[in-house]
Amino acid sequence: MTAVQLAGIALAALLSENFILVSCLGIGSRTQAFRDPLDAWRTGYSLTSVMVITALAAWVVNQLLRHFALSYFQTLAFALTGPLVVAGLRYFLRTCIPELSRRMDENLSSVTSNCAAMGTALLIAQRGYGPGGAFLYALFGGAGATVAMMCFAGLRREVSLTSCPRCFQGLPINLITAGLMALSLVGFYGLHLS
Amino acid sequence: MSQNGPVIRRSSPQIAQVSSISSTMLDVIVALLPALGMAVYLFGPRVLALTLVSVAACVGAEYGYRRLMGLSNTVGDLSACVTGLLLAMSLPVTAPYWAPVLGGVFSIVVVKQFYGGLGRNFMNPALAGRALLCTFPGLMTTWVDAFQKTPLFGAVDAVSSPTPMALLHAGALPDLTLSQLMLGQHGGAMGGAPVFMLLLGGVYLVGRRVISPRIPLSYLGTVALLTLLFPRGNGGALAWMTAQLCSGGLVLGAVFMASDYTTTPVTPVGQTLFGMGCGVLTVLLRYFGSYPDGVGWAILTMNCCVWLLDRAALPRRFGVGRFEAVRGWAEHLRASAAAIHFVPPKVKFLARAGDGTMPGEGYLDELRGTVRQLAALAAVFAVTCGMVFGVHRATDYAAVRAETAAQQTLLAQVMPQATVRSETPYRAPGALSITAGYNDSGLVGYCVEVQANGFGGVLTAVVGVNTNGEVTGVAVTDHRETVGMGTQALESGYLSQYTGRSGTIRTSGSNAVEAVSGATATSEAVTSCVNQALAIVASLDTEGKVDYVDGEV
Repeated sequence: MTAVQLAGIALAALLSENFILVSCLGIGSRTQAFRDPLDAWRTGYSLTSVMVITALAAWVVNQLLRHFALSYFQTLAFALTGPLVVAGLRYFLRTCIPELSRRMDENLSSVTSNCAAMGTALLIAQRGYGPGGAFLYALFGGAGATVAMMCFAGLRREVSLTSCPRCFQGLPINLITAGLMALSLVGFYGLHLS
Repeated sequence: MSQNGPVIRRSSPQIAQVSSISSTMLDVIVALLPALGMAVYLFGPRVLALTLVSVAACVGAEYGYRRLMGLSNTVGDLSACVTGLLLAMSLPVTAPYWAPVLGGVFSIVVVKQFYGGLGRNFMNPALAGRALLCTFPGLMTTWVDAFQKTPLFGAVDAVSSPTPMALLHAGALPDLTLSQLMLGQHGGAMGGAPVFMLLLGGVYLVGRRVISPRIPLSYLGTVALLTLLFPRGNGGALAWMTAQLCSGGLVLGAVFMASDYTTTPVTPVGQTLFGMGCGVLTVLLRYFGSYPDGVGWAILTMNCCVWLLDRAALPRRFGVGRFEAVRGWAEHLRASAAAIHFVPPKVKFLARAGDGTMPGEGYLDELRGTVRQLAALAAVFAVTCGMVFGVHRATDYAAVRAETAAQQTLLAQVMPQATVRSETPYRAPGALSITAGYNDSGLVGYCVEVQANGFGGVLTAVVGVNTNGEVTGVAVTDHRETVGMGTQALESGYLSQYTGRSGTIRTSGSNAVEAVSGATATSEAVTSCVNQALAIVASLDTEGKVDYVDGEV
């Protein structure tokens, strides 16, 4: 793939197909990540590392499956690859780099079944990206998700979310805030570099 | 000190503060009036009507919301008037009257009042209202040229013409002199066109110290620099830069919307970064995005990042210089990174191998625990694999039959003269697959699957080209276009006009197809697909050595 195509993939993953605000894929189960910007940062970089490793592993698995004409096992294989990668990464960090494990372990456990990681694998397989495209897509997708989470958490810190009518307080105003952030990304739909 | 009159005792501060929120907003309104007047001169009295409707809607929404919620009435601070004015000025003159009402109510109630009113919103209300209206297909895409008569009421039947922004988006330089661009004698948004008047308003605001020039200057400077470095069109870099600076809503956005107090960073460095970020995103969207003008989207996106920018620019400790804070932060990072050590793992296979009476019994004991943990998972995995395999075996033939039937209908649509299709191993750059179509008399032609960039994403189409180099049919297999707007250009009635054409198909001039108005990007994507397919078939190499790759056709 040419450099322009790779740059287009990276830009799309960052802006026009942002995992959290456009594709709505990276919204995990950890609510703390959307409340505290520092936790959002930690979840973000854990998610990015998991996405990159999962994307490369899923690319290899996909190539193997296609080679042996077992493509109908793709969904099952990808569904296993994600948690296996996370489990392997957590085990590796626990035994070899305990300091990183102390910092990242709870965030890593919350991204075990994060849709962004498995969604990356599936999208890469569907669109037929090469290993470079897969790596860039996962890296910039994770970066975009991190920025989106940090911005959202920062907004929740700074903006008063209790000034709305009582029926809107709590989840509705959070969803409205996320929706306004997503509205600002509508202009990036269809962004292409070529 | 002799006392000639009563001693007046006051508590501090004793200097009367002249400016208030309403006086600031009044300054902004005064700054916008020349541009509004110019817009009325250019586009007719409908401008005034739309502006009045917009202001009334915003003021009414704010008054109604505050009244319903039992809060204090804040209409007097004139901020709703400013929102209404700015919203109206970013609309085209052909907008229906319900558009500013919807945009105004949304911007005041949802974007501003739900977060606490003036000074507590995080997103620019006028721009958010405009963004909402942009998601309505066709609303913000009919631009008329200046000096056209648009009626006050009734259906607007004016001839839409390409605005300078549309031309710049397509990579061409508009054919206007600098004075024409500055005075706004062309199509565009009502308030975005008269650039000179907006600049006058900006100078007035800076002179009255209402806005700080930092953000507008950094925004315009970044756009100028980027457009100067990467020009397009054939007029030279300087002409391209001035055209970009004077077109679209750039000056309106930079002066009046990006300088809003509440939605921009507080710190000077943060403001500069905000302006630069807006500039980069605007140029990116103008060059590569689907919408012609990216100013609104860029400012909205940067509005969401304000917290990050302020955090990046805020000094950590009061009274200590900023570089001290940065140095401290770098030191903290280094210490944090230095705490991470790699501990070589102690690999202990067969630790208990020697235990037990029988050889290897200790090892088995060690394994038993792990196996018990994973047994359930392994059983589930085995059962699932078996089920997937069984379903695949049961449905394999049916799936292949259905796929063949789908491909046959596609062939009938794309190349009606052919009865049999066969995948070919030919490769060409840009072709996803090349299928040959045959009938009783031999090879009819090739069906090429190609892709092009449409409005909302990648458009995949299959184009049939016969051996004479003429198109036999077009079918769109995958797209992300707007339903109702872009999909008009994907209907069979539109696609049938490509049948029989050859050579390079253009959108205007010789060998042109009629583009669907309001779906130009989609029409151009389909045309690009057809041209790609024609070029691929014309230069198809069927004689050379064919490499068969295992697993691929």
